[in-house]
Amino acid sequence: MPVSRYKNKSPLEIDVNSELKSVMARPADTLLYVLRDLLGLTGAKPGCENGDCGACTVLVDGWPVKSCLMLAVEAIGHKITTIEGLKDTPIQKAFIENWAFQCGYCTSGFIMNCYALSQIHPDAKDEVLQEWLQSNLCRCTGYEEIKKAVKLVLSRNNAKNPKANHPPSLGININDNWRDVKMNYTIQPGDTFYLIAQKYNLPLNELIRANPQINDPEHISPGEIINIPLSRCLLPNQYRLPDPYPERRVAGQNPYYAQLLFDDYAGKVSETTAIMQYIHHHMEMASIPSWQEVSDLEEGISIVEMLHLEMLGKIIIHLGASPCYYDGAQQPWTPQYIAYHNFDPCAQLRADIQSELEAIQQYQAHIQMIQDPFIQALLARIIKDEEFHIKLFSEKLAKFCGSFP
Amino acid sequence: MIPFDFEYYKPSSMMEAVDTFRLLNTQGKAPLYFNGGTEIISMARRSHIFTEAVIDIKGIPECNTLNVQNEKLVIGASITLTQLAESEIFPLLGRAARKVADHTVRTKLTIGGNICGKITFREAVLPFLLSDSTVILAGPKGIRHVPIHQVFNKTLKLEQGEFLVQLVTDIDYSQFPFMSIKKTKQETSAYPLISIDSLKKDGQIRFAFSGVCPFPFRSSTIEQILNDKNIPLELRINKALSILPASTNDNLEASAEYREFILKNTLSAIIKVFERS
Repeated sequence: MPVSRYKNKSPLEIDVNSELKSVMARPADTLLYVLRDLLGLTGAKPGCENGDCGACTVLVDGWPVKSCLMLAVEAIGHKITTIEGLKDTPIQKAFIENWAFQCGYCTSGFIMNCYALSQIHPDAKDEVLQEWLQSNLCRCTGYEEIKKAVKLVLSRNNAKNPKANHPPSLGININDNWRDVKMNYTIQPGDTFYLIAQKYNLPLNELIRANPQINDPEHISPGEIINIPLSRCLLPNQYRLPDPYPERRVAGQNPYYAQLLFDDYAGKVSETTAIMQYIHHHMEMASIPSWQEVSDLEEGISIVEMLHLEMLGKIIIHLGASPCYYDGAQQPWTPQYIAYHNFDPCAQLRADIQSELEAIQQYQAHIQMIQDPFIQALLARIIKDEEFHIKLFSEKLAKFCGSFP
Repeated sequence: MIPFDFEYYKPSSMMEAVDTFRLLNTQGKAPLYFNGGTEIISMARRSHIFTEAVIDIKGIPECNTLNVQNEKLVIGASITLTQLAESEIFPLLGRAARKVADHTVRTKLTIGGNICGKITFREAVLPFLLSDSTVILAGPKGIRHVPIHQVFNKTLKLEQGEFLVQLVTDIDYSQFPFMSIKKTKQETSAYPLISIDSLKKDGQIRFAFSGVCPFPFRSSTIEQILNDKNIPLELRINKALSILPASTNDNLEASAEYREFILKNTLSAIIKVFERS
């Protein structure tokens, strides 16, 4: 994805009150300035223009923000709501009913903030209300009328339908399962820690670590309850499909077929390239904690590609050739085949998907050219794994990079 | 209105950000990394800073992380203080975040911006100092994982072209008892006269301070003294105050003597609570 850049005065498209507005603005122009002076939306007021008074408050994706502290160019891709975008809301009525303003200059900022509070925390307690109202200053009222107005809206909100509000997302995905997911297991006669670890495909030390209450793992009794840390269980086949691989055999020796398979074995688009590329991406991503799960995926898939490599090597031997790291034209495999994309994990994921697509195309072409049903069956089965890998990579791309290939 | 023009760049990867910085720097544009931007905008408006280009790092996925992986809490530099406070994922950090500015500013102000900014208080760094966190930095030399105590000394010591990507904290720290206290002159939403975050681990109380001196700090020597139960509490506190890493702040907000008076009382209250518990 190219770097977005804005120099001098540029056309900016901003979603304001659910309408896409186009303005010519400098990158240094604040959202407040653009709203008022370029779009004529004067509801947001310039006060201190320093982030202190709150008179310029608008909503960005439903959250109250001081528009004097935001560049207009930052608003691209977000939904901006100004006081002009609120029509007959309960908080506006409550301000009138409770005389919650005098000169009115701060009112639009207060209303935007209070409206967001009523949406995000419809059951806000007093301390939350207090915290939110500290964002706005009023030099006329004593704030009490404003508090009364907000409390009235909150109480009506809750009386009407306490579950009615869906607070706007914070724009982050907080991992709720951040504690280890554990399962209780009752020790059966004949069980040992070793057998239980094997049963759940779990490293023995992980099982011991999850059960500090067991003083001596060598001596456990039937009926005792232990923890199984499910999140630590290894799933050895999670990166390939469960379907069995066909038998590694050939109809007869054929050097031409071997030559074709060398391209899949150690050519530019090959299992060797895939292994080296994914291992490289795995190691780079491992240095970024937030990319750990993608790093694990890269490692797991590279191991599956190693399995493919071994199967192709055996076929090449059966065809009467020696599986050296050359392609069909006898060119040695080279690390220049790897799409490195250093320190750009999203680009690495896209490159991995592209590699899998190219591999599938090459295997499909070879299935057409190799008239040996055993080899065709094996290549068709490998294609299934590669398609599965594209799915796995694409899921991570969508999750981590917000895009689809 | 900001009285000068600058160019705006929004990269989508760490490498793009670093490359963009390098290019703009070569062109003499004195680029600044831009995150929440609250400090840059307000200082630029008053001409207290000048740049010909800003590089907004909010589009970088790693900077927007907020989750737990392998028992580590990973917080991207672009996570806002409101997001931290609302997530309740690390209660001490949520409480510390709530002490900075006011709610609507915190919706824009990022954890990275607070720690790397020019405003000296940098209160959001205190929980990370207490929890021996690791910082992840990206720059022309690649990605660095560095213990915060090695790289944070008064300010975060970044190399040319480097920026803060993530902070990584052992999740166990979210379970320890803590106190987070900010004392202001009058208003709640104001810079602190003093701000103390404290946490009890393995029977020892840890302390990190902001507002006391011209920079935030945590001192193991001060902690040893304050935890020494062989000495009466008042003496411990006096001794700790005698070895502060710099002179106590002395300005219009509060004199040094007044700050020390508040500091003594607050430390006494914190220690009494923790030693009772």
